[in-house]
Amino acid sequence: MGYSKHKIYWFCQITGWSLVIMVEWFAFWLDDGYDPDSVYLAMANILLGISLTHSYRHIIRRWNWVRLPFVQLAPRVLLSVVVLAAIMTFVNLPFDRALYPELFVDEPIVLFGYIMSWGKTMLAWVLSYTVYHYVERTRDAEIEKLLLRSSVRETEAKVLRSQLNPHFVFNALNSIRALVHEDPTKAQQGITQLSNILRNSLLADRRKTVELREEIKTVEDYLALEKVRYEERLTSRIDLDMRSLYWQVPPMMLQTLVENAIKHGVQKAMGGGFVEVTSWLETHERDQDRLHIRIRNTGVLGDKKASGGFGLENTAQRLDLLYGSPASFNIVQEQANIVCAEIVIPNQSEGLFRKSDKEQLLRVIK
Amino acid sequence: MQMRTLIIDDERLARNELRRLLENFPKIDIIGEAANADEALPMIDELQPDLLFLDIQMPGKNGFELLQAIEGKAPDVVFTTAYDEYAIKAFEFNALDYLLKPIELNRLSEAIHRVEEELQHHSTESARPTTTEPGNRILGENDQVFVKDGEKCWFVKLGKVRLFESMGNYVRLYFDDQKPLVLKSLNALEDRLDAATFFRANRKHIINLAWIEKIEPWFSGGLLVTLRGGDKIEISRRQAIRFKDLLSL
Repeated sequence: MGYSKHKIYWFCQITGWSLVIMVEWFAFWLDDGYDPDSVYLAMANILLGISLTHSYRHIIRRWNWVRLPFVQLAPRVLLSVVVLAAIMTFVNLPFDRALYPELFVDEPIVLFGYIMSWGKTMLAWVLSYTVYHYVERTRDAEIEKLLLRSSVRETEAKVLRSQLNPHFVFNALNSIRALVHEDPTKAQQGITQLSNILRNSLLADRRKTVELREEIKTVEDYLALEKVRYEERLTSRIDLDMRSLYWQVPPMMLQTLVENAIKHGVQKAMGGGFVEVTSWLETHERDQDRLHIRIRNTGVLGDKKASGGFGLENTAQRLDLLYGSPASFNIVQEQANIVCAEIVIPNQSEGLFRKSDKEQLLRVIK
Repeated sequence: MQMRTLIIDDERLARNELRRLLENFPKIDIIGEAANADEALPMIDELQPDLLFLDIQMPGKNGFELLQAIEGKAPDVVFTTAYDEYAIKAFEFNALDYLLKPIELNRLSEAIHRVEEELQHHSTESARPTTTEPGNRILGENDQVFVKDGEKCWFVKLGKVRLFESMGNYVRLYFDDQKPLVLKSLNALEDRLDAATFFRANRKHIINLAWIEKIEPWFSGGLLVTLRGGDKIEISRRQAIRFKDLLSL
């Protein structure tokens, strides 16, 4: 593409300048008749015009003027137009005076006239060059943006997957350490449960979805560990539709929601609280079944930040990235002290990784 | 020298674990345990511990809020946390002592030695003993209070506070180059502060007499006092009479 840009540039330069100069010479020829000197002068002007503007182009590129904001660019452009016009004038004026003295009445207006006339040509040149580059830059920026967005999405999706809460991990380890003396068997179970959770969290990075029954196992291990910490302050209940167990769900998503439920809900409640997870299937439009998972827990939805803003945003983002509009995530204050979150996940075939971005990108490149 | 210690953490296992570790330090005398701020505050009031091991994340008031709610002198505190990015930054910034759970024995040992030094320093420094009976807790220049304003928090020795300024329901403390706000009324503070060091200059200000640099006569029989650091405070005429008496001018 760089090659053809080069060709376009030279084509424009040669034809442009030739046209401008020759039209003027032609008008002169019609007016005053043929004069070989004027042809040489015209040729020289074409060459001069091309070389001047070519060198000007070098200067622009070297100092990166095209990147400047309008306020800074405009005065520079005007100044250069004046300079270029002046150069053309000071070259042409003595020749013209020597060749056609009769046309000259010695007045400064002649000089001014020359500068204006060359100025117009130079201005046209500079403007077209600048505009062309502005347009090109915008287009380039758009393409880059789209490319970036789709590569960012891939990385984002990866990062969003594993969000194990360090607070939980260290508190769990602390509790297990305490149990080593108090109840060694429980300590052993705790270590197994924690290692399961860690393993799933690491694997979450590699897989886009997992079966719901695997995800629920992580949640159960997690709840077991939290029960060790909170003891009677935490009760839980898991109620899943048998058919939903084999549904594909994003890894660590349910886990994150349950974590939030405890971190921002149950933990903050003075007497403790409960967490309840339910799942069922519902038929939506076009006979497509979708998975519904509901998490109810003790708690109060404060402002976004307090209620684990990041975990919730993460969920909504991931669902959007993976499934687009058929998936959804909602969280409300069901009662004074009970929060209810619900996610809806379509079947795998309803679209993994949105096609729309890639289509848009291809259209622009073409 | 025994250090009377209180353990405050909402998890029973965490409290047990810390208790177990503290058995390694005969100078630590565990006088009680609390599972939250509501349990802890009356215990602190009544037992007047020297040291608190304080968990930050608790239901109800968190660790910082508990400290702010302590009326009167704040004991030495070692915070405990499993992992709290922001808190850790705050601690490091303000040189507050904290321990990460699960707690390492040698880190605990270092923290306890630091507290020991602090307490010894206190007892040799105080020229005037500040009474520790409940109900008569006057705060002198060697007592420290916990101050939190937004994200920043400090343990400040009252001796470093040169000026208290009333701002409606709040009071602004002036120390070093900080000016945090605390939710207390100036009158309530005045009751708590040692009158020999802290003087109510006018309706809006209490000044630390040790920070006075210059005294000049002012309008209507009042005085203009300049504190080290540049603040100029007017003493009303009525207070000026008491002021002169106090300094026996």
